[in-house]
Amino acid sequence: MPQPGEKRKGRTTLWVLILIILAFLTLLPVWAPKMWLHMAIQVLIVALFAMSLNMILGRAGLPSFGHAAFYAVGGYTLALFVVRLKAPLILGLAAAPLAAALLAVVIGYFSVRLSGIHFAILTMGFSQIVWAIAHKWYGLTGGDDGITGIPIPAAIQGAKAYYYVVLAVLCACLALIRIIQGSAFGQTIVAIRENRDRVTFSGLKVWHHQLLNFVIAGFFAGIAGSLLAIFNRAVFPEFGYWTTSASVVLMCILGGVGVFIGPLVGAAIITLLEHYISLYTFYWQLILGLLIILFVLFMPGGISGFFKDRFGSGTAPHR
Amino acid sequence: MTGVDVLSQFMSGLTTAMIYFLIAAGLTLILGVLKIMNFAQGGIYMLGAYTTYSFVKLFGGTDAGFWLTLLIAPTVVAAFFCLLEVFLLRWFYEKPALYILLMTYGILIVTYDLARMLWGWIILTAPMPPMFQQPLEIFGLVFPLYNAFLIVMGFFVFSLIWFIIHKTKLGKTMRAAADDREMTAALGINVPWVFTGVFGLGAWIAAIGGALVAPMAGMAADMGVEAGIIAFVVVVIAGLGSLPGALLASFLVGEVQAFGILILPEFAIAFTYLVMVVVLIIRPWGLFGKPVVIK
Repeated sequence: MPQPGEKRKGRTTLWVLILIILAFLTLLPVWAPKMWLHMAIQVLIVALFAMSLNMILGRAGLPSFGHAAFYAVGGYTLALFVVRLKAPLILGLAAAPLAAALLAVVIGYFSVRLSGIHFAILTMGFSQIVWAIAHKWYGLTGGDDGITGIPIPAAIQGAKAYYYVVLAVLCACLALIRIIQGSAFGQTIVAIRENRDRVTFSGLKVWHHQLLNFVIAGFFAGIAGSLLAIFNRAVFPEFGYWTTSASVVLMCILGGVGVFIGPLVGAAIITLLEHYISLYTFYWQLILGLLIILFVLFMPGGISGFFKDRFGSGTAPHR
Repeated sequence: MTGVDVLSQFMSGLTTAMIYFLIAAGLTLILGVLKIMNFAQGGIYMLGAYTTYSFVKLFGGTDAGFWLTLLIAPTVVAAFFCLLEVFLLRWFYEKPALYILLMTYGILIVTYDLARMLWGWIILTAPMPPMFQQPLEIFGLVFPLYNAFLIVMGFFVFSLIWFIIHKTKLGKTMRAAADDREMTAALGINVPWVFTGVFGLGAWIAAIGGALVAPMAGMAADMGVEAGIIAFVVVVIAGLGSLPGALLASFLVGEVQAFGILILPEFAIAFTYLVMVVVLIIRPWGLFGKPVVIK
């Protein structure tokens, strides 16, 4: 048992660490070249996407393989609003997470009653439908060409400005996710994961909680999708393809689902690896695949879990 | 549209249906007994096609060589995946589903690049065996003899697996292990080896699918992605673990695609998913599956 004083000390170290990281991220555009900034924006967006998935994957313990659906719907909603309806960007940004959340209600309604492999298959099935619509409905979504030429207000056209927008949104979302996870609701989600029956016995409606959790996760994924759409100035059906879902699951596992910032770490590692390995070899998928296999074999708690087990207090739930 | 056109479209739908069935049958078998979703199934299919290409070339493109290849190539691929099962997968059956899903996904993307390294990036086609080069004529419809052969092979493999599962002692053991692992193990049966066998059988069937498609269509390393996901759709429509269901669902998907192209060319793939939506909404556990809803 750690002493209370020790725990407070741990807290202080944590806050100092967070402040250092924040200061580093805030000052990054001052010295980093533009190329790095582009990578950083990508990492931050994908990190938000991974964090949203972890609400389902880590906290609720449900293996979702269709999270890309919300990412895609977020991106496409923004693109449709701005390009097809000529609406202002801010309206598209507001609509994107709502549309994603709405889709999450539908998908969640059918899938959260299931668990394990069945949940994985159902979520993946639904997300493939989203992909098929994006891929084939030329009239609306532009088919496999996607929707390009999203107009961006001059204020956020530069990489620096957009970097700060993304960073601010990510921080706000992380704070929100943290608050949700710390709330009674967030604790209930974990309790359901640990022992579904006992939560049911205590009179709580298990699947209402899980559905709400699923919808919140979809909401945040929608935000990430819309940010990516603005970054790319375009949306493509690949946003919603099942391999996107699989790779974000990988990020969560790699970073560690039992640690709050685990998915963030995983997102950074995978995004950077993908970029840098593919500079040197055509066969980066081979390397990625081997990495996945090695990680599942030797570090099932993820990188953050690995360090937390050895150097941190308490144990990370391995899920 | 004349009757011959309809028949022609129907037959082409049947041909694709059979390929989907062969991939899906292995998938559903593994799902039914091992309770794992094997993302690598599309990769197995792709490797089946490439090894067939190599063996057919090795045997000089003769008829006898083709038959021999049909025996050897899928077996080689299946043996390779049996090894993977023993070394990588079997430790994770009792762990949360996520690990095995990721593991098979990792194997899948490794197989892509493996195929690219071994066979290159260009699109290959295996030579058509001489005995299948002439077309077949049925009811005024000219139809490639090889496609007819493929359809027959599909039914043959279906009957073979059905026979193994329902009429042999091995099949009985498999069904027992699927039902209750612990009890089966308590009866003195080596369940891990049964699982390896089932995984190998599932891989073998998918590899046959790849072998059969090799002389028909161009092969690329990513051919398994699309085929794998359609096989997955087939399994979802059929109900997890149901073999006859997989056959029926393959027909459904194959024909929906074949006729969908005639009606609305843009939406041929979307139709497939539409069928899946309808099934998922009405019967989330699939046409032939059992409800798995908890509470």
